[in-house]
Amino acid sequence: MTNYSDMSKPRLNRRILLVSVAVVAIALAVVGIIFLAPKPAKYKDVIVIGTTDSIQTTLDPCEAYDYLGVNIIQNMGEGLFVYEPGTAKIVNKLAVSYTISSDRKVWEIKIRTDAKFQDGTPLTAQAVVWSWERTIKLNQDPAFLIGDLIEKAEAVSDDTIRVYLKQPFEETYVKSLLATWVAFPVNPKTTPMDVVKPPNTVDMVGPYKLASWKPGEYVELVANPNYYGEKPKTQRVIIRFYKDAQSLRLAVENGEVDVAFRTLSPADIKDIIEKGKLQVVSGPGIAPIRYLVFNVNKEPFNDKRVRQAIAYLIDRNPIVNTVYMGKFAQPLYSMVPIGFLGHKDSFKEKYGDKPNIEAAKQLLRQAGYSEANPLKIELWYTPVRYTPAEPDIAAIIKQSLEASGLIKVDLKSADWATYRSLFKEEKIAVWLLGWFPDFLDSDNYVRPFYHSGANGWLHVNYKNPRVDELIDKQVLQPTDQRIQTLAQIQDIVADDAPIIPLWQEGQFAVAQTNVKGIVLDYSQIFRYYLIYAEVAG
Amino acid sequence: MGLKEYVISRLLLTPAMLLILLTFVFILLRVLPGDPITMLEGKNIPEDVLARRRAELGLDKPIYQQYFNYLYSLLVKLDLGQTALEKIPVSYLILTRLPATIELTISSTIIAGAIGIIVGLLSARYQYGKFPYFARVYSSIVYSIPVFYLGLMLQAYVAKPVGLPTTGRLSPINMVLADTLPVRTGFVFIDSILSGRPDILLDYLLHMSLPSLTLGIYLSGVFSRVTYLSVEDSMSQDYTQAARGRGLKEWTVVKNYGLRNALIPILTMAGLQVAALLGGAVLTETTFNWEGVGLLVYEGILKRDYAIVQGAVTIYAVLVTLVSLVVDILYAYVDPRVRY
Amino acid sequence: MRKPRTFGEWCLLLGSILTAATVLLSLIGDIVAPGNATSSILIIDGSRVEVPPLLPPLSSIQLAGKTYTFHLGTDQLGRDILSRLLAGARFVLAVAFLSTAISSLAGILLGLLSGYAGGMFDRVVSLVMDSLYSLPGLIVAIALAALLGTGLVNMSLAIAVAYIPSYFRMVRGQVLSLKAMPFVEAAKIAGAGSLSITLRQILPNTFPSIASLLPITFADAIITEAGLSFLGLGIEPPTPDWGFDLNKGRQFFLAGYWWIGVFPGLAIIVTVLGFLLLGEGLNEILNPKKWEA
Repeated sequence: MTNYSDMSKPRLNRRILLVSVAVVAIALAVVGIIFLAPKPAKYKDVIVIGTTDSIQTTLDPCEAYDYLGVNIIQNMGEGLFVYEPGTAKIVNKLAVSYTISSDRKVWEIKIRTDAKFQDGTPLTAQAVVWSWERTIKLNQDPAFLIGDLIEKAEAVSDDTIRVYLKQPFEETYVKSLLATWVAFPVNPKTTPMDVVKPPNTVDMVGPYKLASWKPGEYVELVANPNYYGEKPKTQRVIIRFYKDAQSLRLAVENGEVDVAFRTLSPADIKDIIEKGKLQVVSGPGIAPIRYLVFNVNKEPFNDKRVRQAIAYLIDRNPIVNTVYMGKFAQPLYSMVPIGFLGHKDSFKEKYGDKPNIEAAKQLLRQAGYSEANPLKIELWYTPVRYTPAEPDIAAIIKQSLEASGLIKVDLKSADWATYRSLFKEEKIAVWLLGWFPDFLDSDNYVRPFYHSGANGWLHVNYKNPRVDELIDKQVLQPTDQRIQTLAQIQDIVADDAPIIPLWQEGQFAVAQTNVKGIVLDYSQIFRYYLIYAEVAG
Repeated sequence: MGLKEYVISRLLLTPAMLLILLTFVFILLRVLPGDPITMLEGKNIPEDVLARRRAELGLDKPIYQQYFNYLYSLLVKLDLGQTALEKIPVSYLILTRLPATIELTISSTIIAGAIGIIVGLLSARYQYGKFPYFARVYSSIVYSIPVFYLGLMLQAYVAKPVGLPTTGRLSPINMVLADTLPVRTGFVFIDSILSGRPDILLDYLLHMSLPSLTLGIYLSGVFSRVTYLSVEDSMSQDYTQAARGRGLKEWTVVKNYGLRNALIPILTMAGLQVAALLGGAVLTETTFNWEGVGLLVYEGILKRDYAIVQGAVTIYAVLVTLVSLVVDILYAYVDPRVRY
Repeated sequence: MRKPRTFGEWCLLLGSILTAATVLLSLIGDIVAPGNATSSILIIDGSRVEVPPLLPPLSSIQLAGKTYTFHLGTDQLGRDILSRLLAGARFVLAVAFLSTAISSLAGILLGLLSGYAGGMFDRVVSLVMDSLYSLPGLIVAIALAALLGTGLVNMSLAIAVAYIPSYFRMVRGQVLSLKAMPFVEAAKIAGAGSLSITLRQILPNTFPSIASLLPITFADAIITEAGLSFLGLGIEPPTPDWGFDLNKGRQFFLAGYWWIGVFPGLAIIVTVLGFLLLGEGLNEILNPKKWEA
C-alpha cells in the first residue's frame, strides 16, 4: 500500500498546526474581549411588585383616592411640584420657577417647555389649566383638594400659568396641594370630560404608561417613550394584587415577586430579616396613623376627666413591642406625625410615655367611679381594614385600661361597612380608626379632626372655638409663625383629648437581593421608576 | 307521569326558584348596614359628592323601586350591571373569574373522585376483610380537617421546602402573558395548549397542584363514602349473587355489577359537589390566592357591592339549577319511581 | 362491659369517649386551665407579671422568682396556649350545639308541617327551601354573620340557616313516603287526628335518619365556625376560641411560630372526628345492614 498519507503528513500537519494556532488565538482573543472588557450592565426587563392593597375606584387622577390607585398614578404622571425622593422636600418638576404676589394670593408659575404627553403632544400651560378645570368640574372624591385652593387659573402664555388662590395660603401648603395627583396635568386631546373607567386611564406626563389592567388581578406598566426625563431602567412593571400577607410572603419567597410592598405582617418581616435570604428596606411611615376616637357628645366621654384618664392609661408600648415586634412601628404622641411641620409630642408631655395609673385613678374617682361602680365601656374596632392584628391590639388596649381596676372594657367589632354606619349614626362612643393623608401637610392632620367646621365624617363632635381660630390662622401664616400656632393647637387638643393618637407604622419593602433603587421616604410614594434589578451577562 | 311531563314540570319550577333566590339575596344585602358608598367614607370626601354618588347608583330611591329596577335589569334586560366603585361590568368580572373556579372544581373533583372510587371499590372487593374499616375511618378523618388548615400544612411543609408555587394560577409574568395569547378562553389549560406554550402549561400545573390536592383530599372522604355505600348496596342485590353463582371472578363482579349500578348515585354526588364548589370555595381561594368567584362574592359582601353579589349569585343559581336538573332527569330516566 | 365486637361498636365507643371528653372540657375547661388564657398578665403573689409572647412549647421561664412551664407555649400576646385550648372548647361547642339544635328543630318542624299538609303550602315552602339549599352555605353564613354581628347566638343563627333545608328535605321525604303506609291509614280510620298521627306515628319513624344527620351537622358547624373566624367574623377577643386561634396561627405559621395554630387545629380535628365516629356508630346500630355477618 502506497504511503500517500505518510508522505503528505508533514506538510498537512504544519498547515493544520498553523490553522489550529490561529483558531485558538482568535478564540482566546474573543474570550478575552468578552471577559475582560467592561460589560454594560443589563437590567431585568420586567419587575414584579406584589401588594395586598387594591384599587378602590379608577385610575383617573380626578377620581382616585385610595393608596394603591394614587400610587400607580404617581408613576404614570407628575405635577408642577413633586417630593424629592429620599427627602420630605417639595421641589419643582414640571414647574421651572414661580413667583408669589405680595398679598400671597396670586402665583405665577413657569413650566418646562420640553415635556410631552404619552402620545407626543407637548405640555402647555393651557393643558394644565384645562386639567384643573376638568377635575373641579367633574367634582369627584378628591376634587376638593384643588377646588378649595384655587379660585381661578389661566394660561398667560404657553408656558406660564397664573393661579388665583381662594385665600393667601402659606407657601409649602400651596405646593403640597399642587403636588398631589389631583393636580397632575392630563392630555386635553385624548381625555374626555368624564371619568375614565377601567381598564383605561388618562394620558399624563410620566415615566410609565398603562399597558394593561386586569381588575382585581394585576396592572402592567410599560416605559413611556415620550417621557422628557430620565428613562426608567426597568422597561415593564407588573403590579400583582394578593389577597393577604401570607400569600404575598410565599410569592416573594419563591421568587415570583421581585418586591413586596404593603403589607407583610411584622412577624413575617422579622423572620425574613433573620433568614437573610431577601433584603428588607424600611422607611418612615404615616399611611395610616392610628388613633382612638371618642364621640364627645356621648356619655361617659362627654366628661373630659374620663378621656384624660384613658389617655393616662393607654399603653402604646406593648402595641409597638408585641404586635409590631419593637421595630415596625413608633408610638405617636400627636395627631401631627413625626417629620411634619410643627410636630410636637404633646401627649407625651402631658401624659407621659408609660401608663400613669395613679393619675388615671384620681380622675376616675373624681368623675364618680370606683371599684364597686366601675366605668363600663364598649370599645369598637374593625378587624380587616387596617391590620390583621387589630383584635390583638384591641385586647392590649382593654388590658391596659382594666389595669386601673376602675374600668371594665367590652370589645366589639364589625366589618368596615357596618362599623362606619355605626359611628356615622352615632351609635357607638369609642372606636379605633386610622388616617391616610390626602396631602402631606400638617393642616391635613389637624383640620379634619379638630375643626368644628370640618367635614364632620369623623363624628367626634369636638367644638373648641379657640382651636378653630388657631387652625384657620396657621394655614395662612408664614412658616415660623405657623410652627408656633401648630404647637399651641397640639397642646390644647392633648389636654381636651377628644382623640388619642396611638402609633404610626413604618413602611417596609421586602425584595430579592438583586433589586436596587427602593426608596421609602415621607412622601409614602413608592416609585417604581427608580427600581431595577441587575442581571449578570 | 311520563319522562317528558316530569322534565317540563321541573323546568317550570326553575324560574320560581330563581325569583325567590333573587329576592332573598336582595333583602339580605339591603338589610346589611351600609351601602357601596360607605366604603369610600372615612376620608375627607365632601358630603355632596357622596350624595351624588349614591344618587348615581339609584340608592336614594325608595326600596321597592330599587327592587323592581333590580329585577327588571336582571331578568328583562339581562344586564348584570357594573360594580359600584370601580365601574367594571359585572358580567366581565364574573366571566374572567369563573374559569378559575371551574378549573379548581374539575381538578379537585377528579382527584376526589379517583381517590374516593378506588377506596370505595377496594372496600367493596374486600368487604369481608379489614379494608372497609380503614376506608370509613379515612373518610371521617379527612372530613374533620378544616380545609384551610390542610392547605396551610401542605403549603408550609410540602410546597415551600420543594419550592412549589402555591399562590395564584400562574406566576405574575405568566399571568400577563396568558392574557395576550392567541387563544384566550380564560381556561389556562386550554389556552396554553392551543397556543403552543408548554412553559405556561407547566407553570399552571405546578401552581394548581396543591390547591386541587387540598380540596381533592378534603372531598375524597365524601366520595369514598358514597361509593362504598352504593357499591355495597348493589353488591347485595340478587343479580350480583347470581353473577357470583355463575362463577365470575370477584373483581369482575365488583366492576360490572357493583360499580356500574352505583354510578348513578356517584354521579349525583359529583354533581352536588360541583355545585357546592362552584359557590363556596372561599376558604381555599383565600389560602391559595386563587382568583375565583368565591372570593369575588365574599369581597362583594364586605364591600356591599350589590351588583357583584347579586350577579354572582344569579349565575351560580342558574348553574346549580341546571346541574341539579340534569341530575334529577338522569335519576328519573333510570328510576321511574322518582317521577311520581 | 364487653369488648366492642363490630366496627359500629368500636366507632360508637371511641366516638362517645371523644365526644364526652370534649363536652366535659367545654364545661370545666376554663376552670381546669392552669394559666392565663385571656390576658398576658399572670397574678403571682398578688403582683401582676407580664408573660413573654411567642414562647415555644415546653419553655420554662422564671417569673417573679418562680419557675413556670408553658407546655404548649404562649401566643403572640403572651397568653398560655394550653389554657386557651382547654377553655376554647366551650365557645366552639356551644356554637355547634346551638346551631345544630336550631337547624334541626326548624327543619324538622317545617318538614313535618309541609309534608303532612301538602298542597299549596307544601309547594311554597319546598320552593323556598330548595332556593335556600342552592345558595352556598358559607356565603349565607357570611352574610348573616355580617348582619347579626358577633356573639354566640348570632353566630349560631348565621350557621344554622344553611342546614335547615337538609333536615327539611329529609323529614319531608320520610313524611311523604310514610303518609301512604297502611299503619297511617289504620290510624286515620280509627279516628286519630292529623296532629296525633304526625306526632305519634310519623315522627318516631324519622328518628333514625335524623339521628344519623345530627352528628354530621354538628361537625360541619364546628368547621364553619372556624371558617368564619378565619374570615374575621368570629368571636370577640380575648375569649378563647379554636377557630379564632387557628386563624391567628395561620398568620404566624410561616414565620415559624407553628404552635399557635397547630394545637387548636388538632383540637378541632379530634373533636369533629369524635362526633363523626359517634354518628357512624349510631348509624350502624340504628340502620343495621342486611347482610352483616
